[in-house]
Amino acid sequence: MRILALESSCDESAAAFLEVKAGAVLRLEHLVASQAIHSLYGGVVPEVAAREHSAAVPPLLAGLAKQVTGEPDGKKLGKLVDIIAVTRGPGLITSLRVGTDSARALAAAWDKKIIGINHIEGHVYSNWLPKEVGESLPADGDIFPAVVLVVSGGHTEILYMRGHGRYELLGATRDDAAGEAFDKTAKLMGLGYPGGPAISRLAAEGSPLKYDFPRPMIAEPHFDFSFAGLKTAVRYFLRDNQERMEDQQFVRDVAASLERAIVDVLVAKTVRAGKQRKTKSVLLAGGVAANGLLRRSLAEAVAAKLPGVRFAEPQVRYCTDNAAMIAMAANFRVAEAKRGAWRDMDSDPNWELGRADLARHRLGRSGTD
Amino acid sequence: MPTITVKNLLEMRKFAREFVDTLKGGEIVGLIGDLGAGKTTFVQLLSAALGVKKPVRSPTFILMQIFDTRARKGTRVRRICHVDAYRLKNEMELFAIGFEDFAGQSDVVTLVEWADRVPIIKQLPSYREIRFGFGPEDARVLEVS
Repeated sequence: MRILALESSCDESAAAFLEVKAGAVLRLEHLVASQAIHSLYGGVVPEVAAREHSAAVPPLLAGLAKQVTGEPDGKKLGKLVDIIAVTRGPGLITSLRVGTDSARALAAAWDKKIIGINHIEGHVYSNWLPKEVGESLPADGDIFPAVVLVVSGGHTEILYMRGHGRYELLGATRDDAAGEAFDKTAKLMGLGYPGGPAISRLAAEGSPLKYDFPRPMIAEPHFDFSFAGLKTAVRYFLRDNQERMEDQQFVRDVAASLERAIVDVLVAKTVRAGKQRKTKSVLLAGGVAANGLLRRSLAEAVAAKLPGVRFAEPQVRYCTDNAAMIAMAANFRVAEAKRGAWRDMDSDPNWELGRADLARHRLGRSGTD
Repeated sequence: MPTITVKNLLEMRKFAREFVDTLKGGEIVGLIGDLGAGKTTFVQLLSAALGVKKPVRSPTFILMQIFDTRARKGTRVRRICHVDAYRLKNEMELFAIGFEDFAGQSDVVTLVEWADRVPIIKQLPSYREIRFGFGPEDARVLEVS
């Protein structure tokens, strides 16, 4: 099965080509738009606004074709592809549309089956992407049912996954995502962007239990999150300790304590979900899944509190938005890909996984809610 | 420019409901204030008052979200367009994300967080502004224009 996937839900467009045979990954090529544009222009890049997805997609596809077939020629690539997968949502409506319209055009031109994939589901499947080509995909029995923590700049949610395509949304953030919490508290501290890595770097040399920042909703019995209150707490704390910001160790201790507070909430809720539900594995996913403290803490907590439960995390390179994960998700939904579905397919910016998502996949359109 | 102090979330909700009653459709409301000042909270309360069923979260990463509201008599408002300019590099990115497709439409109320980063919108007809400041304890001081 050869899948071409397009991902264009927010900041950058990405494309991937995945070949799976007999349960093993034979080939995986993927790139993001900025890479494609750079190689096309040999380093001197014309002023292409990051958000001009429609300008970025042609060189992106040419770049993928070149990686897969040796030539930036769509026809050769088209002959190889069995199905086309594209992120239909959630995301920014204009970005999504460029992705879905491009995918639809390819499906129509090449007469291929096409399927819309949920961006969050893509993140879940980043856990199936191999370290090396030739690797077998993990066995379903080792994974399902799974508790999945998806955490990024734009999303923070816990899913219960009974099997491929069978999701239940257990909880989500009510305001800010965890990645956003990192970015904004970093901003309050005067650190650079992106905030997560900046805080992590400082935190490595700081004391995580020195300052007690709020761990919102950590003890409440539901699986929702709220990080907005952390911003105000940090703001007031920094205001009250302004003079100490000159002291580098103070800054490191604040960073460490902040990181610890955010990670504690994420780990506590995920482990509680693992206890409450029959669980075979706990999976981590999303951009914040690259955070070292989160990876270590969750792995340790699962080992200590959920005996017999497997823990899996995606490779760091697949944590941020990419099309390889979309292709992998599509690999398990091949039966739902339809020829001619390009005619009616639309994007769904508010598409929420775990809420009647089955119907949307089949129709390839936004159902009424 | 009227200044209102809301002492807590309950009073902010009351303000949001009263503000909703002044909306007819097509308004573009700029929300200006520091991190944690209450811009997103205000949009959540306003959305609830307009009968939005989907969860309204911070659009910092997604940049723009559209929500259906409950149809009400006396107002053309049928949708909310919730924008966050925090991550935009410049004003022109507003147009790249499709802002024009929704903002100013007669059935849409548009809310723009960090509107001070995209001052071009102040020139649009039906532009209004709310500035969020910090008061004593949990209070917020709002300047409405």
